[in-house]
Amino acid sequence: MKREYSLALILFFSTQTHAEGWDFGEKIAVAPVNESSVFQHLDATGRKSIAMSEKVLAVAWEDNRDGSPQAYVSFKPAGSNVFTSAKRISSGQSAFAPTIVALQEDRFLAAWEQDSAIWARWVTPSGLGPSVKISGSNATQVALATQDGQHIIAAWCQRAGKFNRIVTQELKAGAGEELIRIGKLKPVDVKPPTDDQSYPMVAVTKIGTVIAWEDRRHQHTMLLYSRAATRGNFSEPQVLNEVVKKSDRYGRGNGVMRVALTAYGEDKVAATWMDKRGNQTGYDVYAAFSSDGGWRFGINELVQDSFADQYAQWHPAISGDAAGRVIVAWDDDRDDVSSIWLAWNTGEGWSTNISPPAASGEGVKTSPSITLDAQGNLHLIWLEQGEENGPGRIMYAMGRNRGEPSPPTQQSK
Amino acid sequence: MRGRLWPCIVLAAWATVVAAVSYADPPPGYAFLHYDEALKAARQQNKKIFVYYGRYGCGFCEKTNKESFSDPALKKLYTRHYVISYVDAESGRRLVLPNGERITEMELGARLKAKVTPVFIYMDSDGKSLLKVPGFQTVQDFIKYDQYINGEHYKKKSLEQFLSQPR
Repeated sequence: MKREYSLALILFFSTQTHAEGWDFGEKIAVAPVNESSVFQHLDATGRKSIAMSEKVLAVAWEDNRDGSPQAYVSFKPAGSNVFTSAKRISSGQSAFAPTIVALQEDRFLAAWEQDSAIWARWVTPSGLGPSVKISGSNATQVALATQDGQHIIAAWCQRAGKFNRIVTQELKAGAGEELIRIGKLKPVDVKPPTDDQSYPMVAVTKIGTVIAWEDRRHQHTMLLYSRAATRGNFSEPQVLNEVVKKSDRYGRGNGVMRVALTAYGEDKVAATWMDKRGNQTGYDVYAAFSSDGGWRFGINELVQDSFADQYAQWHPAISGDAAGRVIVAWDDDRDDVSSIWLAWNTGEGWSTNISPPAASGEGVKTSPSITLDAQGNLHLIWLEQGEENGPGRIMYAMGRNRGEPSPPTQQSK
Repeated sequence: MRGRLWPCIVLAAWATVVAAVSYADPPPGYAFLHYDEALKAARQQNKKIFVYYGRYGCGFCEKTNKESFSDPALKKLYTRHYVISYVDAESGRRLVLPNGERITEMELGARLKAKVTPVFIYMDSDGKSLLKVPGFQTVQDFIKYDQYINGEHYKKKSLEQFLSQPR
């Protein structure tokens, strides 16, 4: 019965895939390794493990090929079907959750957690800049974003007394390989934390910066966001997710986690996250839009379609472009095995979900990260496991834009 | 004498608060270990593992804590029979799995295919899942699950078969 249902879905979705905006090519291994004791991870904060400059695609990940978890990058020139060999960017005893952002002239900035501090360096296909420690001690979960390809906003969690607190630092390229800090490190919320703040995410538009994060000050996890005009102070934190409390007697609110942000269109911002307001079906993927650069977000929208009602969704990632497209990727196992699923804003809501052929079928596929390039092509990476709990391997596929018109710009509601 | 006692009382109260925030929401008074620590301890002690997969602020977790885990006899039984572990569904805390892989507690939930909180998972000393029970459970429920697991009935019967047999 389930097989027949799946076949019907595949037939339905295959026609949908062809009718929609992207034609997906074959998958390519990003950083092949043979040893079953090597585990690759794509766990950048906000799922920003992939970035596209004008002519180069870059991927950042963590694996333990050198005997301990370390951060690596690899590049693929546009038009090539091969990634460069892995370049290790971290040192120290261990490194986790590297993230990467594209800058001007096919340069990238990578940042990661190394021995409980945040480090960053320039990376290009032709070489690596020097590693720079940009945080104090007890720091984790770094996110990066840029609007102009020159100035970068970094945000991370740093210990402040008993709790983690979200802090932010502006960076820019100096002469040569220099990484310059502009202004001081500052907390996003000026009030000292009363419980943990974690997993910050940043989006930058021409009119300012928005940072969203997980916050436990109300004795359950909520998503808060704060906005600052360029070089200004951050606003009082606002709540991003609609809180559903199911009982007056027990519990303090539904679960939410792992917010991701993207800038899109002209000074607009979209957010996605995992949300457990549903009763028995695990986390769902929700999203919200801001048409004013992050001052105000609209209503929360359920992203996945009704075919996924009974399944838990994990690892949502988001990417937007200047033409107004916003696309969300995640994994769920509605087809009996975990596959990557996509949905995009149509201007009237969210599309029917599709699973690219390269990122579905046999084997477990999880942990997507996506980016749209200037032509509207979709670049997708994910972790692929031959068997459940086997070692993950990073795979890549490109969805070529078929020239469909971009959706009308979504407004805050 | 009384003056010397006050700092101790304040320190003890502060330690209780710190202990309360260092975990998400497990019931008080239980010596929960992190998942990877529990796996090691279970192998050392040749004990089975009881995993409480919960969420900060979760209503049915709180109900279970107040109505079931507050029972002293249940606490004694589970502390004697199991190495007990609490996993925070939304935590980024890193764990080392037996195969050497490092993942977060949130990722563990994804791999356990945990849809709701709480979920109670009984494992053998190697971390193999023997029984997974979602949602609120009464003291009597927990006692029956213990009889099923600790009596090793899971080797021959499903939980449903075990529960339906006359006693």
